[in-house]
Amino acid sequence: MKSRTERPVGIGTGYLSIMMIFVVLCLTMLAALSYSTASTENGYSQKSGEYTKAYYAADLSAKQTLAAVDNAAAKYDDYTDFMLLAELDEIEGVEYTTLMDGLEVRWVTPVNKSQSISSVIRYSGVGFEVLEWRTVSANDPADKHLNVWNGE
Amino acid sequence: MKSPIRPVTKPGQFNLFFLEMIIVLLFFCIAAVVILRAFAVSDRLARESRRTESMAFCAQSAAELYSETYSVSAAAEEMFGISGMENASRITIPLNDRCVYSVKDPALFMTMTETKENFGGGMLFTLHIGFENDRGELIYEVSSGAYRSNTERAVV
Repeated sequence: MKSRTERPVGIGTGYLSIMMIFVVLCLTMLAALSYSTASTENGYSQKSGEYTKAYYAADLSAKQTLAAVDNAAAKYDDYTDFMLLAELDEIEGVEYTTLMDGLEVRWVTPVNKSQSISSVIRYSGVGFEVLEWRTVSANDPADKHLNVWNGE
Repeated sequence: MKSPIRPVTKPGQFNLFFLEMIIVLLFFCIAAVVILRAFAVSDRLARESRRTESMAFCAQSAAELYSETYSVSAAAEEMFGISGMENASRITIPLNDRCVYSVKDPALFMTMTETKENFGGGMLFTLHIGFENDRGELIYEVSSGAYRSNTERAVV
């Protein structure tokens, strides 16, 4: 029968190395995961910031176009005046439709590759009314339908 | 039966356990330096992304308020409760990392600059919002605008 005093005291050679390798591996994995998460979040926030910047720049550009259109329209009482329409033709990107009681003007300002701000205003009586001022998909306009069989 | 008395290691004799411990500690120190640097970079990136998001939201709020009020001072008062800057066309506001008004511990400086352009039909207001860090470097900027027509119906 062995005595209790014969047991080896402390830990043997090699255990420390194994424990250290395990701890370092765990720490490395945690560091890699935290870096990956932080990097992804940073990418998203940068994109979000860039989008905000691009959106407000496009909105400002659309309002500059509105100012140019309104500047032209303010000179005329009759919104179907040939001279007014000629002035609108000179403003880049502006399209118009003459109506019975006024004039509808529209233009599209790109925000980025995939989005644009669509603006539509109508002149009738005194001044204009904003009919549309919204973000639309640049590649897929709202009036484009899928070419599918509709049952007829 | 063996004696419980162990022989004392002679001075100068190599102990394998202590040798391993020294090697393990050295390796752990080297690994810890690399791992701590990775954690520090992650922390810096997380702080930067939080700050960028805060600045974007802050700029968005300022742009929307400006398009409603046509006034830099009114927008600043609505956002941060700052008053006494009526008719100012340029305002610099000290903010902390979360874009909260902070005079004592500013980490960011938000500058709002207004320009007005008179068109025949109305007035185009342009607002430039810039964020500078405590070293004076421009880190984020947004330009927005508002148009006020001379006619009553049209406000954009």
